[in-house]
Amino acid sequence: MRPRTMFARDPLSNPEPLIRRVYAYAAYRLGDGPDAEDATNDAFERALRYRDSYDRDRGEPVAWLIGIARRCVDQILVDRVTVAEPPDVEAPVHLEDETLNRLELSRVLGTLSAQDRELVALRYGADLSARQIAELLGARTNTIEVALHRALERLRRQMTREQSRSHSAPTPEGVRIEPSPPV
Amino acid sequence: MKPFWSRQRSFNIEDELRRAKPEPRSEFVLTLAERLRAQRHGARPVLRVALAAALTTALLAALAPVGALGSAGSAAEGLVNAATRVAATHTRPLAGQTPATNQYNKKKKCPKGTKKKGTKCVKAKHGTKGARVSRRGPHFTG
Repeated sequence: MRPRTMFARDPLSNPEPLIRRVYAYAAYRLGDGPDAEDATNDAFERALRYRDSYDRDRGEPVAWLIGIARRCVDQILVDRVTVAEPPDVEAPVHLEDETLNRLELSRVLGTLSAQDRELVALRYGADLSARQIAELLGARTNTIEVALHRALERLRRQMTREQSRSHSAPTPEGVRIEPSPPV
Repeated sequence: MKPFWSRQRSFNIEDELRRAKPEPRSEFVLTLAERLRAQRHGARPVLRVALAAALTTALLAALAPVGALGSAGSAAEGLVNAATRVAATHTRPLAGQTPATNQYNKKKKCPKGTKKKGTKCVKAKHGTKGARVSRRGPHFTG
């Protein structure tokens, strides 16, 4: 192992973009809101405490941070005593398209398995590449790519199902979706 | 109103996931970033020392071609000399050591074969170092 010097790059030298990526990852797994903020906060607290353990030869700071954030999110999922409710969906006619899209996507994401949701959060929330995800999860890149493809396919299928349901019957407000068990 | 995946003919779920990425509150980002910066700077004084050392090295390297090291060395030597001159104390007064005393106040030496005893020079005993040899060769036997 290469000896660490005091000139090693500080992983938290530019925190703002890192905070956004970690938050997006946490929000994809926990839902947008205070839980995601708590997880982000915890992740950065731990990162600050253990920043000497960061080895830049092993990857970018964001991959190291997401590794920490994963454990924080898992902890929050375990600590959740009551089943989390998805955000209340107001009458869609009053919302802007952008907000509506986000809410619909968030609702459909909640129907995915924990593993699929984790992959989507890592890829599209934290913006990690398949190779980085593979290193983080200790899997092969090809395996991750296939798993991601399948997760997206399931997401698309679920959306189609939702669409057909909305056509056949009026959508009830505040649909409750059972969250998937933690990874 | 139709859902977005049916509104767009060429719907790409990946683009949608990227576009709908959750964004943290700007207040949350600013607060957390400020706290991180404050804790980071407070806990790393070694970096400041490293910076000072690096700047000194860079300065020396930049001035070395124009003789900065030699100049610095002679300046240091001059400083040491000046300090020595100021700090030096004389154990005896030098007033009695004049050129005259140095020339005329020489001690008298005894001639060869004699040895100083008190204030006079006496003949040295036979066998002692520097004694005159009165006879050379073997004794006359007839």
